[in-house]
Amino acid sequence: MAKNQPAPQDAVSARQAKIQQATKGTHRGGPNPLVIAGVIALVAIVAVVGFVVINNKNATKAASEGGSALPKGVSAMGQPFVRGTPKAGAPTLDIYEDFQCPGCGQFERILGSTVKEMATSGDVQVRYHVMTFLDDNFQGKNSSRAANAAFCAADDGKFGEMHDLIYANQPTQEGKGWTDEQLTTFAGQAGLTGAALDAWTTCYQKQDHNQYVVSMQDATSKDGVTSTPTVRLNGKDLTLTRMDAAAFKKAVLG
Amino acid sequence: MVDDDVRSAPTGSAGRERALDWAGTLARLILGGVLLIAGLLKVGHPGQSARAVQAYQLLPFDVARLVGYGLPLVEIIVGSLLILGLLTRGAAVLGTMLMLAFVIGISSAWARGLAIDCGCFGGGGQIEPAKTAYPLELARDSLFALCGAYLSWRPRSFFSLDRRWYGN
Repeated sequence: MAKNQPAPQDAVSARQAKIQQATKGTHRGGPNPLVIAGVIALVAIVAVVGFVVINNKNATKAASEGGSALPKGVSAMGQPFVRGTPKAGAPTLDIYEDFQCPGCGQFERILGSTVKEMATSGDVQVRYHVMTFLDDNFQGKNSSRAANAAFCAADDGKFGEMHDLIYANQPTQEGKGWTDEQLTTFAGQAGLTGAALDAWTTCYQKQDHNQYVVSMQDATSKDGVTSTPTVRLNGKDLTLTRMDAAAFKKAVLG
Repeated sequence: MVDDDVRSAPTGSAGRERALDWAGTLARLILGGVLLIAGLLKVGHPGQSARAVQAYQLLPFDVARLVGYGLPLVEIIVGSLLILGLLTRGAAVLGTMLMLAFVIGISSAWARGLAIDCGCFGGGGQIEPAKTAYPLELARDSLFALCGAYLSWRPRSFFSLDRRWYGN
């Protein structure tokens, strides 16, 4: 630094240089780094734990909505629905579908009647695993509502008809779902009338089988099924690419 | 006049320092951006996130569910810190660990022949089987892990709060 009398701005900038030198390597413009790190870590931990707890609470709440009654023909929570009465020794066809899934709608259009034939003849044990994960994707409840509607119809032996009607009436816009009126109309078309229709309406409005519906979604996750439609023949994944009704029948019945 | 380069490295490696700072900036924004976006996409879909973790069948079912619930928020926090360039080294270490976890998960699923897809598919008038893109996902997540590893080693970069506040 100059020994003789420095000009005023030289003295100021010289002082600044000294301050910069002194604070070099330590925090100079921000809050104490240890404090910042501590605060951020604490806030982050509280936020993440809180978030997990809230999500878990919501999931538990959703899983316990509605009733826990099993639909007629289902033996336990998480078990699929068997359509028709299979003969002894019939091969098992597990169908994993979500009512809102366009790919499943396509599967039903191309192969649905063949599956129905196999089920009603008893030649194949056809088991439906009704999934509802698309409700999360579409931020709605249409899959659950359709599933509840189908299983309320099961109580009067009309699951198959209801299932087919819902798929036949998939909306063109994904996520739009079906209104309560539409589902009630399907129930009528499925053959539910009079007292049976009243029973269905009560069951649907109270969501009597909702916990079963939730249990089935959980069971499919445990089965390792993550996309739909998934079809398994005797436990092994069946590739459906370019399969028409004839090829499908051959693959399943041999 | 004040000598502004009071703290710069000896001449010759100043250019190298600057280049490495640019690399750090790029790594920070890439890894931070990816984590932040991934977190934001999943944070409103806890069920989906839980099922995605469960699909890898590496953790017990209920543990995987809880991990799935928390993961999006962790991604948002780590991603935000990286983008801001605050606590860069710590955030980079966490980000690298996350990416390595994904690499391990994907490799394991691939080795076990799991077909992991979320959501449903379909189109073109034909029913297509699940299309898995494991090699691509592995390459991508490995690249992100490298960004994180680099930053963990050398967290210095431009346009960061660490630099503005702490001269890092």
